[in-house]
Amino acid sequence: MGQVNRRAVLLGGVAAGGAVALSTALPSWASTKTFLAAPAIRDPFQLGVASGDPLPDSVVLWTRLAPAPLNNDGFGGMPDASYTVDWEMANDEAFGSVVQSGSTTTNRALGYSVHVEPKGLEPARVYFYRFKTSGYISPVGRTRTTPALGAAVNQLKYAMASCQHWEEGWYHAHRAIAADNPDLVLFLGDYMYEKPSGQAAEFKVRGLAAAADTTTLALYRARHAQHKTDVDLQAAHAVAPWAVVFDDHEVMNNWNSTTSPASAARKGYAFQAFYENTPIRSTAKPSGSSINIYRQLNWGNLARFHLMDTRQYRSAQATDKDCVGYRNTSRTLTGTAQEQWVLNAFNTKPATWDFLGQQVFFAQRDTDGKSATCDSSNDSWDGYSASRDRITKGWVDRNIPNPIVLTGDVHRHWAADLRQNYYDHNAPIVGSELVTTSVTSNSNGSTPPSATWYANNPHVKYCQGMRGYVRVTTTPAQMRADFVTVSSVLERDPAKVTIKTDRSYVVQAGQRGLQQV
Amino acid sequence: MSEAAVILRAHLYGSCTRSADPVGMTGSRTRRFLPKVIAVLMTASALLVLDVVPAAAAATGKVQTAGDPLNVRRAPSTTSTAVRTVANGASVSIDCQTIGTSVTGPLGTTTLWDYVPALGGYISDGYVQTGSDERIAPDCGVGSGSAECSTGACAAEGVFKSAGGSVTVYDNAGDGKSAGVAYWLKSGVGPIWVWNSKGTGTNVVANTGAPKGTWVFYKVCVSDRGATVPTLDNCSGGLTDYVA
Repeated sequence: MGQVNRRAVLLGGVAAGGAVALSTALPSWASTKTFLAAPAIRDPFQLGVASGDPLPDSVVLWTRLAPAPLNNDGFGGMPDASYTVDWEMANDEAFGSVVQSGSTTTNRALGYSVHVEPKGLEPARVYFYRFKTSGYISPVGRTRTTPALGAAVNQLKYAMASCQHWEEGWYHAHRAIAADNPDLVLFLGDYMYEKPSGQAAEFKVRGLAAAADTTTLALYRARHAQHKTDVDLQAAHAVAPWAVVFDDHEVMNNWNSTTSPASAARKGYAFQAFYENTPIRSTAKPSGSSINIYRQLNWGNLARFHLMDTRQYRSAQATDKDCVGYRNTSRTLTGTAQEQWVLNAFNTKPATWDFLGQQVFFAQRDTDGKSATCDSSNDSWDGYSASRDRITKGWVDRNIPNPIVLTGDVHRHWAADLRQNYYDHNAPIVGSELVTTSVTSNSNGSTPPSATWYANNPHVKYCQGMRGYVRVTTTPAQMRADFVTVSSVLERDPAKVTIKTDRSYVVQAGQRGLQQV
Repeated sequence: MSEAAVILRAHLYGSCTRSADPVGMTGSRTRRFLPKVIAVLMTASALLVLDVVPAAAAATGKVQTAGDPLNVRRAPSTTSTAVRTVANGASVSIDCQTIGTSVTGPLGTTTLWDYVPALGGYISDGYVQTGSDERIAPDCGVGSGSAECSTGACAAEGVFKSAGGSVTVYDNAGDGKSAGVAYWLKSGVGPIWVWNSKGTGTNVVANTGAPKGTWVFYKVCVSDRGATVPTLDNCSGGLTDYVA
């Protein structure tokens, strides 16, 4: 802009030039800094509230300021300034009994995200929380702390979900999760997708505001924001604390520890946006192209969750169906440090149930059932079978009482028992796996496995190609998994959608193997 | 920067006409959140109005040309339709500013455009004495209306009217293609398309149905809609505005 001319006009007119603005003649509140402190905004609570990663004395509270959430610069319509955000937690939804409150700030470097980690809460308690900034008050969220370590617990009810491509359906599963009133929600990856849907138009119900692949921090931020505009997803976040791990599409399809297919820069953008948009602890703040998200979550003496990262440290995928690569003992899905971390955890037994929350199919799925061919996916644990063997042997050798693997990724419900040698159909069962279908992804369904396939994989008990989620009810005596299906994610009207339990399995404490209910 | 500009800014950003969600502002729930003195003021204001819109006071400027009238464009581009002119020396009320095509005027060269609702469009900031070389108004999308062109030579124009929340799609080019506006709503729905396939020089109006106070994100594209496999071309970057 041509400042000189304009200043000349001004100097001859009503006021002095720019330098005068810095003079002490002006009141301090009129400085540029004051002006930048907090320009007025519209209601910034367009993305709801969330909580996560509960402890006996703490839980992460989350929101993100975004009065214009779909803006493709990723800043959600926020002026370039620092905003003070007040928060409070109460015993009651009306906030008549506030137990803690505080204040934090957010800014452009944080994508206007807010993470609060209050301390000193009481264990096994329900709390309500909300935020306030610039005269606006957020929706109210409900959360809870975990029971104290070792405390006796009668029951834990949690939901597990994964894979929610924005375009491929309505989030009825989240509406149902909210209605279930769970204690905890596990999200096992593919919260967002880095690219537009490849489905035909009739299998898409809505579109991306910025359809380009997310190759910049701005686009990752905007993509996360668009997902969080969904009212059903907001409801599921507001009902209970979540524990979230990513899979591949939060970064890009089938990425691994190398810089192909995802560059270090792209990982860095994706991790930053993931952190900003996830109710996760500050220990997961990314540093460049690395982020630390594997962690444990304990639920008294009843359950322990090992939330794993099966993307960031994995060896590059082997050539498809290459048995030599699949079985190479130097290859890893977890990375050495994470493997040692989980094996060390198996040295202690603080809880009846051990849940390994992770992303990709753990049990073997070998189409022809012949060990010579490795007729299975190179992206799942089948493609890293030595890594799987080490983890499985770890819990077997250490006598982990009740190991259950929890999985997302594959857009179908599956239930399977686990063995140390899947080709030996008489080998002992050493655990079980629950795989949740997608919330929306691949909404046109898929064909079920054939009888021959099941005969080649007799440890696999169930497969269902509909959309949905899994509800797990855990007691000291048993774990029950309800595989919930949604009749259609292409139909928006809830009145025209049937949500039901398609199949249930239990595992009895101290016994191995799924039993159909 | 001038004293006049500082006063303008204090007026624009420092005033406190907005208030909180009325549901959250009742009784003791609010007071707990606020410093004691402010709490009284906020509670009082909540009783008076349910206004959730930020300070709407516009900035003012004065049109300066060599003497000729200045074009008012429908969208912030020199290839956008000139909807009228405004006289040299006229005072204008600027609701918001945005980046568009570069223009050299008597006050300098700039990509900044000023939205003047009273004139129904945008004027280049290079022709407006605003008392500042910096921005003197928020980014466009302030709830008083806005417009975008498709990229390139503005073959399609889309206008969002905050009053009533309607979109108008203009086709400006005899290129055999349709003009379209796609919009997304707070409920997670979108894109909803409004197409104009009536030919160059025409327009189509549609109501978004978005509730008052809520946001609408829209972008403007052209498309060969009659083709076997239609493509969307020249889509604008998109803009969020609000229903008044």
